[in-house]
Amino acid sequence: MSETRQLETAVADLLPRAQAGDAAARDELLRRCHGTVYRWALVQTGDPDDAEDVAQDVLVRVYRYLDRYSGRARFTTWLYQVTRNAALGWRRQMASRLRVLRNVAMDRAPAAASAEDPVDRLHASRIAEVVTALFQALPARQREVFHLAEIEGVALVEIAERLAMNPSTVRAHLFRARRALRSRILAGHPGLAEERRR
Amino acid sequence: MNCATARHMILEADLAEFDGTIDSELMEHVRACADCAAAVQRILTAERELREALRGAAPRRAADEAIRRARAPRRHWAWRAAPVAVAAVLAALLLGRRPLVDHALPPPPPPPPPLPQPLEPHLAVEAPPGRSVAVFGTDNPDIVIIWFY
Repeated sequence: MSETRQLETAVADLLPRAQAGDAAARDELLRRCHGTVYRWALVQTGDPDDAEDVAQDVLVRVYRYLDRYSGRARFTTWLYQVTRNAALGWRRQMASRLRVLRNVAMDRAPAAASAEDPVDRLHASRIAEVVTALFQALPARQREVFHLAEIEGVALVEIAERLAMNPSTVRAHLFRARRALRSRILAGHPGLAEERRR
Repeated sequence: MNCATARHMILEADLAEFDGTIDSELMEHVRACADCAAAVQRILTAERELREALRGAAPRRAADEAIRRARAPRRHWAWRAAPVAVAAVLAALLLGRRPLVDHALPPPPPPPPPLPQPLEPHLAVEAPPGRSVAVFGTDNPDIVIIWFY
């Protein structure tokens, strides 16, 4: 079961009580959402410290505006939208800083990938670090779609709904993300990289 | 299918294709080609690590920190209290039993008229929860100062 579905199940009994004004239920609801919101924010921002800030901001918003959740969509869909909006607001505020961070990430990621054979030469624990850096170097929209499709296992149609995009656009983003990420994974291994098509 | 086409398709293929859930011409080639199989294996390993890294990422700060922040009084309380305060001041000015400044009195001695003095608490100005209020008169009988602190 995907993390989103697990969270949906985990908060099902808390949500009505929290909306009815039960403070303990509301607090517990926030605690259960925290990890997932953080991971969503991490994908959105590409930086653990910024993801912490965005996640805290989202929890504050959920605490204050939970009564605005009407129940028409899934709770996790609403929560994802709140997280996305918070991350967008954060991006606007930090635009100049982000540009610098993105440039640094873009500079670093290919360096990691351009080693002779980055994956083979790394200890397993470092593989995750390098691949995560490659992932964070993807454009934000590709990162978001890739995360939802490949990590969360959300169907393309549902991703399109969540992101207010055409399903074919979502598919295009997903393919671009896969191609970019996998090219970089294989980049340091000339024998395995994509051969030139004749 | 040759290796060039296979490598091109490997970059965009669905994971279900790699693990054999979907049978395809691509996977037929991969099963028969050691190099392409190695490329697929490399991608699968890296993406599995990525999935585990992202799923295992956890916040360092506790949710309770956000809960405390959410419970803290918000700053824009003053905007909500403003109409009440204005109405209270107007009511006091119109219905007040005595003028805020008695002009019949002889003029006060020259300086200093430094700080406005607190008025008698006959003005019904209610402070918002968690705040106190002080009401000051001024030389101008039409102006009072209401200070929430």
